[in-house]
Amino acid sequence: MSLLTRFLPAQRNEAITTLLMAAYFFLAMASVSILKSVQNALYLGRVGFDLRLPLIYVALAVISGPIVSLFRLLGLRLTQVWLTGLTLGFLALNLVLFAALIERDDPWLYVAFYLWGGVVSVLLPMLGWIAASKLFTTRQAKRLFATLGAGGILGGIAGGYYTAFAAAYSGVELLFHQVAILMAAMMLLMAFVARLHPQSLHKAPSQSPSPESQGAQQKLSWGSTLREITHTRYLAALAGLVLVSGLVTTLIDLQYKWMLGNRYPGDETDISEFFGGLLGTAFVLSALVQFLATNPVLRHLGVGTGLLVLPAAVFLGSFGILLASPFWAAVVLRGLDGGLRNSIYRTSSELLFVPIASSQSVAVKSLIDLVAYRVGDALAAAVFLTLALMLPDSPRVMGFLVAASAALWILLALQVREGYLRSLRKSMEIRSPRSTRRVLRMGEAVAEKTVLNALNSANPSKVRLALHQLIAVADSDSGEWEAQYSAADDVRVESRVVSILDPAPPRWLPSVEPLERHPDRRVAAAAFSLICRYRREQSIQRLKEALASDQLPSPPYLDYLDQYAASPGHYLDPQRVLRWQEGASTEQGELLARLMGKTRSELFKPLLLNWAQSARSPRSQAAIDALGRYGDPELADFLVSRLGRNWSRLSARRALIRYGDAIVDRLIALLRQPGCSLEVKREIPLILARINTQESRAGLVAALYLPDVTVSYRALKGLNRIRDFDDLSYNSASFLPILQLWSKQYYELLNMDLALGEASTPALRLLRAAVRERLEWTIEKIFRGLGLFFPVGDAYYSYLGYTSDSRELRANAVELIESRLPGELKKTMLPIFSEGETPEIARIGRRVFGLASELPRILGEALFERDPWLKCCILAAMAELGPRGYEPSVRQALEDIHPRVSETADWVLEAWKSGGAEDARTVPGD
Amino acid sequence: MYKTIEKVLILHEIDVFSLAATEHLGKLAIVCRTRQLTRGEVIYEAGASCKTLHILVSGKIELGSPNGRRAISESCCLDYWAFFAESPHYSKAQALSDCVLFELDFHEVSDILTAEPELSLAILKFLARQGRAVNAESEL
Repeated sequence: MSLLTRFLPAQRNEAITTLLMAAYFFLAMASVSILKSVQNALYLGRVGFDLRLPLIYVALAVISGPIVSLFRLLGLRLTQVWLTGLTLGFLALNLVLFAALIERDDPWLYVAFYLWGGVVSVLLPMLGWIAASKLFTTRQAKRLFATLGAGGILGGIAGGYYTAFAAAYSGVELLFHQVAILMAAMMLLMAFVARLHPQSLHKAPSQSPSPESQGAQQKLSWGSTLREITHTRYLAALAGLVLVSGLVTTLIDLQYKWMLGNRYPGDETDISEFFGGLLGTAFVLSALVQFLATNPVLRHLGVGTGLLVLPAAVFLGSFGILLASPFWAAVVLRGLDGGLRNSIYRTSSELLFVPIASSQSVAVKSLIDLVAYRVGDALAAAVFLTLALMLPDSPRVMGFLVAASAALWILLALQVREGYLRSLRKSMEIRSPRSTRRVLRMGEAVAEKTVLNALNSANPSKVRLALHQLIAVADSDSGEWEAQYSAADDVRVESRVVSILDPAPPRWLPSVEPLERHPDRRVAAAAFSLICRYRREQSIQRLKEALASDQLPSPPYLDYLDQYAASPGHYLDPQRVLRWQEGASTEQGELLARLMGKTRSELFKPLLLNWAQSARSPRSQAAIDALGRYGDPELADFLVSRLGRNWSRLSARRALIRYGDAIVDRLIALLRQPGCSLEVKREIPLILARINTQESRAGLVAALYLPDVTVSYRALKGLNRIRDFDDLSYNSASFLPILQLWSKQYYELLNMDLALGEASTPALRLLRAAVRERLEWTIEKIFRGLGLFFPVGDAYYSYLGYTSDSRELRANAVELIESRLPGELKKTMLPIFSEGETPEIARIGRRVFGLASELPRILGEALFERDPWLKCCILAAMAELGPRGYEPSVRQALEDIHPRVSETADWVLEAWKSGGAEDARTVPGD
Repeated sequence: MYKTIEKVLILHEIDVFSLAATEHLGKLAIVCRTRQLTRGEVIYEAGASCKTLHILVSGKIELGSPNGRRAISESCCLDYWAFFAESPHYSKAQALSDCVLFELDFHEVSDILTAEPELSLAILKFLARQGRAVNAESEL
């Protein structure tokens, strides 16, 4: 096994499957190679090249449709292994039949065999690729498909040369039986792979993993598959790519055969040898490319670049026909096409199918591979036929056509590359949590009944929720009314006044009216607000009367002004409010403070400041919040100081957000100020994120690089939120240093986790838990960091995929990240997401960043990092591990700028003095 | 006086915080007060409102209710159901020996829970698992 893993890019658990699948492709491509040579030799040798050959390509396209239908039908009813087995068995029987009939020397038999060979040469590898896409994830496929392709190429070489040899000595008929035996061997191989992976290959099509795919199963009719391909951008581009590649390869093939037929007229053996020789040479070229270039190109440059190699080579090669000897240029072009198509192009294009859901793969792949490819064939044949009839001696026109088609092929490959990334993302979007919230429509009887029933509930929250639904309905009704009248300006003013004052009361209004006297003041206020919309005059009158009194009005009116009135200042007399507050309870004071803030009257400012400075209470919190509405620069320092207390933090934050742009410079200065407390600094990114101006964004980007991990993380979250709906105007280079830093931190933590081993004591358990939390946190930070410059949503969905339980989604997530990641980050960041084992990843980290491997050095070095909490946990662990090797680090930690760290260092020294952390922990404090 | 890290080490071993992130325990430790009791001292009476979460660090405590009495020893959180439910204590708690308790004020805990939703989720998850276990037992 270790020998296998040394030579294959496979991990231990993948090696056997990879080898078996490579063997399948060896046999499949050997069969294809033999069949193609025989098919061409029989046709060109016994029928000759004439205008019927292009027509056969058209016929191939026509018969591909029914074959795909049958294949798709079987694919819906059979497991993958049965589908492959039955198909191979049927094809082997066909060959035996052909061998029996070939002696008749009937020209139609050669035509039939040519058609049959055209279908089989696509089917044999296709069956293997469908199985491979079910066996391997995107990441595995990227690593292993080149090996599978290499098996195919070696098979092609063997088949090509074997045909040349066998054709010379034993004739072509005998080869039929030999290929039938190869097919039987393929059946056995597939059965063996299926025994190793019953979940992937023995799963019945009806056992789809998700409801979506089950739905897809039921809808998989011929038409719906076609519709799905034409309506899905990625699949349409993929089909286009296959069609154009089929068109180009057939143009090249026909031109080559035409010239070959003219060069060796009626000489079956010479043609067969030339074919076999060229096929063999093309496969040698394939092997060289596959072994030397495919894996490095895919790993470093991606699937998109792999796809571009062949069309670019054909595009350049076609100029040979235009500028040099047409026959040899056609031979070279055919060799290039044969060499690159079976190596890098085949591997890259097969990777494109892996993200497609498994339930669709048989239908979609067979349709694209057989029909799209054959339509390309047919188009090429039609074009060739037309040109051969109109311009029989113009090979250069054909060269021009090949160049133009190759250019189109390049464009499609570029489009498919982006589509591939989108399909990876889509695979993760499908599984992401979706909102199930449903807006109630009051026109619907059930919804109306539900809401009206809730009005009678004993639960005030439920009643209030129902009232808010009704308020939303009332607001949307008035909105509709306004829109209706805005088109007729002449009647608009009068109608609107009348309607606002007296809109028709809805039939549910009598159910709401009693709620105005509900014991819960918030319910009463919501009901009053609703009644105001329909009985405006009477309601406002009642409100005004209540507010005209020197006594504090009943709470629902104040609540109404606070929660629902647009400008409460219009209704309130400041002097009277000051009188009300004299006898108000703390709860009423809270309400009054909020109203005072909304009026922004200077008369209230001293009182609000007084309340804000008082001890913790809902009133003092409301007063802090209200002070923010004044936007007074002189109050800013006071509000900032309130950020440092647990109870006033939220109110102070809200108050400072209300300052907007005016406070940004001051907050950024505070972030840089060494004397500013950590609690205050940690609140600043939250405020800057909500203000969201160019300056505040610049402040957040700068905060990313600040030493405190919480400040940096909150700045990151803020930037993520802004990026959801706004452009950050920063390129990826702005975030690369911080991403490198987080990558390094990840390796350090992983290294520490491994070095800690099985933690058995309380402090080591605490440290291990802290390290694992930090590992998860660092991964989140890396994804959030990528979210600052990746296309919007890519990093988020990749994070969901990466943290999911699904092996396929994790692989898709990593594949998407790799494709988007700038080159500088790939080396350090990709191993973090790799499927490798933890010690191997940690080893990469140690090598790249020169990290220590012994626990004392790891812990000692971590004490110089930025994370104060982790430092505390490390110090606690050191208390248990003893002073040996740790004392200098602990003494140095006494000078740490974070008081909690220096306090812990002090405790560790005390614990060592008194004989151990355990003793220090259990001695009661003074 | 216990240092913050000592409090964290103790909180980390308490079941109600077993799913909480260590850094959140650090935040709780900062607002956690130490109280020493002598034998016989009453921590709370049955029916008294529960505004404090008590964590027994050392010593023994007796919980008494109309249904019976039971003694509990160190590294245990007392009546956290009443604390999170904001309901009165069901039983009386009294020190059976000299004890050390950690006390967390309801307002301070709720401030931290508001600021750190992950901590709320961790406690919710723990309570849900306990409730589920009780349900499973009663179903059996």
